[in-house]
Amino acid sequence: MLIHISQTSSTPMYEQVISEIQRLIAMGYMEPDEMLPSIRELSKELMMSGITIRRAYQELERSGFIYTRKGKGSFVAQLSEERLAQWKMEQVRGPLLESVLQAKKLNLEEEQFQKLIKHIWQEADNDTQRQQEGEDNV
Amino acid sequence: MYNNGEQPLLEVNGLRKAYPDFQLQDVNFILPAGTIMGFLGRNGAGKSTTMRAIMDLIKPDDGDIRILGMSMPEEEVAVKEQVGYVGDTPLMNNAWTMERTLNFARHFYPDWDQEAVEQNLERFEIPRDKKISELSKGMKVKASLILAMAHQPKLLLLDEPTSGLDPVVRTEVLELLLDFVQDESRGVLFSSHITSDVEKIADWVTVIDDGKIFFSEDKESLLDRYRRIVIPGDGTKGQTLCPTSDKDKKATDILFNCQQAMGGYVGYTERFDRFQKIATGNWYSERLTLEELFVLLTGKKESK
Repeated sequence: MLIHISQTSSTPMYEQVISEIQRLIAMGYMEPDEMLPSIRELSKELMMSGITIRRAYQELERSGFIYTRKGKGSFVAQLSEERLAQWKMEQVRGPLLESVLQAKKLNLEEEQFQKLIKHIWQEADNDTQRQQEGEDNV
Repeated sequence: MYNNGEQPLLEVNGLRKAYPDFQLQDVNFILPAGTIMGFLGRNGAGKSTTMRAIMDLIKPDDGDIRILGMSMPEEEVAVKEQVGYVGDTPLMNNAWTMERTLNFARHFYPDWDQEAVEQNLERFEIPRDKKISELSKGMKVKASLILAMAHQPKLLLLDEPTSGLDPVVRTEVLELLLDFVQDESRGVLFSSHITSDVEKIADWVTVIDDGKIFFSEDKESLLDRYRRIVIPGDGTKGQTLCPTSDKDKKATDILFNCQQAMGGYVGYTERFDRFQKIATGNWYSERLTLEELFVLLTGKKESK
């Protein structure tokens, strides 16, 4: 499992594990009913205490991303398209809310803010395009 | 996985030991199977004394120590087959080679796992034919760990295993410990004053200060219940939550160690769930690292 954890982020470790596994599931890198590594295995792989991984698994189960069969292990749950779309929106909402509050603090107009989003979106598109072209040229 | 009604690996009850200038006072804690416990304390706080008492290297004045339910002085031989110990000064003969040390040690233990020993020696590139005195500090620590694990004990007691090591070797040592508890009937107690090592791999944290146990708790709930609370503005809000007149009051519903800083008040809560329910108005919270928490709690006592 390709899980990226930042040691310097202020986001708690268990939350990083949760969102990384959710991302792997939401993006289809892990299939429904696929088995997750055991708590101890993942703890060793990520150099993290077992209790942190256990907590992440518990919350993943609560949020419906995985299910656990006693004595067998934890598995990827089948998620509806709506649930996945909802999760994706939740991921973006938090950082966006911060930006909106910041914009309000600085007395920006709503219209200016929306323009800015459009602009940044465009920029990001161009960047990915340039990157792809760059890779093609290599 | 943790403490689900099973026999704890280690129980320390009412441990006392008085020295002229220092005393262990009523040390109590439990180490459940499947657990790595970080034993935190400043230098001289009583970590080594506690570990030596568990190993029966010093005679406690009072207290009861059980390993897998067995009493320590009475059932010493059976207990020591279940325990691997690395003290702050490794008990290896400096004039011997690693090969000779291993050949000597293996005869004392029926459950000696030679295959694991060979694998670990290779993995950490520890030469068998060099004298122990010729090994680097990091090599010595890894060698004594391999030695302590060789008889497949259930419990590892390690006194400051990572102190004085470079980051690469420290990571290797932590990996070895995580390896060891892949078998969930096992457990580790490792003392350290390096909070980041404990924060990384420990399931439980036990803090000792001035010979007394401060707390012994699972790391996730510990870090979850403490918060730094910032209350912007200089209004009455901060004053009600931060009673400056009653500075040492440790009520669970209000903040402790409050300080009026530029632009507001900063304080701490040890029951964030309760604080959230009673606190109204404008405030925000920050999680603490284990390091911050450790300094906050052990430093608080001094300021009294």
